Amino acid sequence: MSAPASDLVPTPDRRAELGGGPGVIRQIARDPMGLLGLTLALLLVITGLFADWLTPYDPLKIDVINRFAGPSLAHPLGTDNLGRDLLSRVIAGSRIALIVAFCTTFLAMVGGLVLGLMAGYGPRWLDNGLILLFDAVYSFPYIMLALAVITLFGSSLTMVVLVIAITTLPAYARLVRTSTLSVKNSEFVLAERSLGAGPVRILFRHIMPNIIGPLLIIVSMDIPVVITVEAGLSFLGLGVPPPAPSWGRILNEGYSFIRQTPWVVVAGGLPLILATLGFTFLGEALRDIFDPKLRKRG
Amino acid sequence: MAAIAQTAPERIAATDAVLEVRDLSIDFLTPRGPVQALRRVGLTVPRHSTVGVVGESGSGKTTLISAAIRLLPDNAEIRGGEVLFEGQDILRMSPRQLRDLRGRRISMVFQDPMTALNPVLSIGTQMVDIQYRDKGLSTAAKRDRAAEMLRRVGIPDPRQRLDNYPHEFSGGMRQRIAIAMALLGNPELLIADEPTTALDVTMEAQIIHLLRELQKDYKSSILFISHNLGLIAELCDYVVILYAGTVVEQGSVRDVFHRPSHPYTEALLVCDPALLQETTRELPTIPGEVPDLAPPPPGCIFAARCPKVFDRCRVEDPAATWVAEGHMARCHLAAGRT
Repeated sequence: MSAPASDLVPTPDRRAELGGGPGVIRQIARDPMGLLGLTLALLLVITGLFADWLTPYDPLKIDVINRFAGPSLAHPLGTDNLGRDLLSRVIAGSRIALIVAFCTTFLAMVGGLVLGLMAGYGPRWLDNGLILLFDAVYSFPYIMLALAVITLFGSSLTMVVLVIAITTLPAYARLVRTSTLSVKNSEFVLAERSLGAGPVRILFRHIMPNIIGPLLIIVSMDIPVVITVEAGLSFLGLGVPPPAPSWGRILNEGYSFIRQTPWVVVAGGLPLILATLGFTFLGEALRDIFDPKLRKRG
Repeated sequence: MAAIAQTAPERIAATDAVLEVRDLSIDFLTPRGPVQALRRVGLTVPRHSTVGVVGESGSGKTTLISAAIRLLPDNAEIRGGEVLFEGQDILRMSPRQLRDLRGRRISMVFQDPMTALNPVLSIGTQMVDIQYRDKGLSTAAKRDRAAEMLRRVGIPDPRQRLDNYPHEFSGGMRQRIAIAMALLGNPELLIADEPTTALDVTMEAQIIHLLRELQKDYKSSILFISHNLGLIAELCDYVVILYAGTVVEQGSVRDVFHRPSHPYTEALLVCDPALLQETTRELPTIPGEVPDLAPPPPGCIFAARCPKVFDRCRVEDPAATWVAEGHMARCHLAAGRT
């Protein structure tokens, strides 16, 4: 016997699939776009994890004699203005992209979850204060924030992660807050309180499992956005400092010589496009599996 | 607060009370001004007994029990009175003391079993989790207790069913689970807020039967909220009739149902479809509606709808009058009868 569950709350049978790993992968593989996304994302993860073993050359080694070498068997993607092997740099760059993508979304998710739960469940003044804070951060262009932070603290991988995490966090916190507001007035929360559950127990034991589904979907769809943002910051010279081989930096360095040696820009741009597409397709496939109600209309 | 001389202490005569509400007044702060949802309400739940609270929608039943477990909405303001549980005032307890109290000494069962359980956690998880205060017990022992409690409320195959989610149970089963959860802490007082309203009649009878059985076994007291007079008559020892935030009559079920001493109680008994003697096209109703409580009209609160109203009712609020031992009515006519 199945009764209709509340619209806002993922039904348990759907959530049970969340736990069933192989089932989810099989479902993704059934969707061609999902399969493509999964393949690209896996490729990126594997490349990133084993970058040290996969690079044919040292990505930082300067070889002035071979500068601007076109694609060849020795250098499949060519070399850049300092003669560094671009394939090696792209492979090493995938690690930076991965670190930024996962650290940032994780930080933003945890922060957004905690602040959103506090805003949604806490007293009115706390809610108002946090909303004000979220809106203030939200309305602040991330480039400006990045500029300010990097001028003050100098550029580093940590700074990039922090800046992107802080600017993404309000969107998650708002989502969590709204779902918390709708769940906190359900009768089961009242029932738990009447049985002696304290606020922490209510929040993390009862409310969080009810709202985590939509959050995970949004977060997974934000991974490609974060990768692009990092590349954008690095392109502007605000990201990971040289000589670290970020894709954005490869793009930036190739940009100056685009008329003479276009392969440098291609080497920086292609992995960016593939990674973004891969994670986007994967995110969409996941969303369709876990939350058919969010499926895009028309 | 104005010193109104009470003619008699407004209580059911009982020495050993689990819960005692004294002169409780609660306002709801609204943009229109304070709504006086409860006005000087008093009631007593004697140990090992069942007290029913009857009233139509908006009479303050839910406010009364929310105050009894102190889960009032944010805009509620306690204007005065005490809620004594085993002699301790619940309204003056710290959040810590309240948490210790809830679930272990006072528990509650809610109206709608469809929404009273967390939909994304298995009932075993929920039942184990709520035993978090029993630090000495292992999870396995807590599961055993949960399964035993489920068996006790009549869930077949309880050990396997612990892994099921709420949506895999029917409404009646879910209400049984809610009762099992409420009884896990072996409370002295169980508050049941219309626990059968959302169920069909056969389920209702089963749940009432179960509550009666459990009360006998666990020796707890029950505060039972309902608008079904038949259920009250069947389950309860005492009954409190609530009208527009005031207790208009209370006493033992026998006294109140056989010798109703307030016109509102009389009207309620006439209107109960179950008590109709013959088939009729139109069900009897009490004409008029519950008065606006922001602020309440002067005089007797029931004056506007009372068939026996006379001049004095419109100006003077009747005091609590004892028509018999332990039987109180708040009516000028009742005062004349004694």
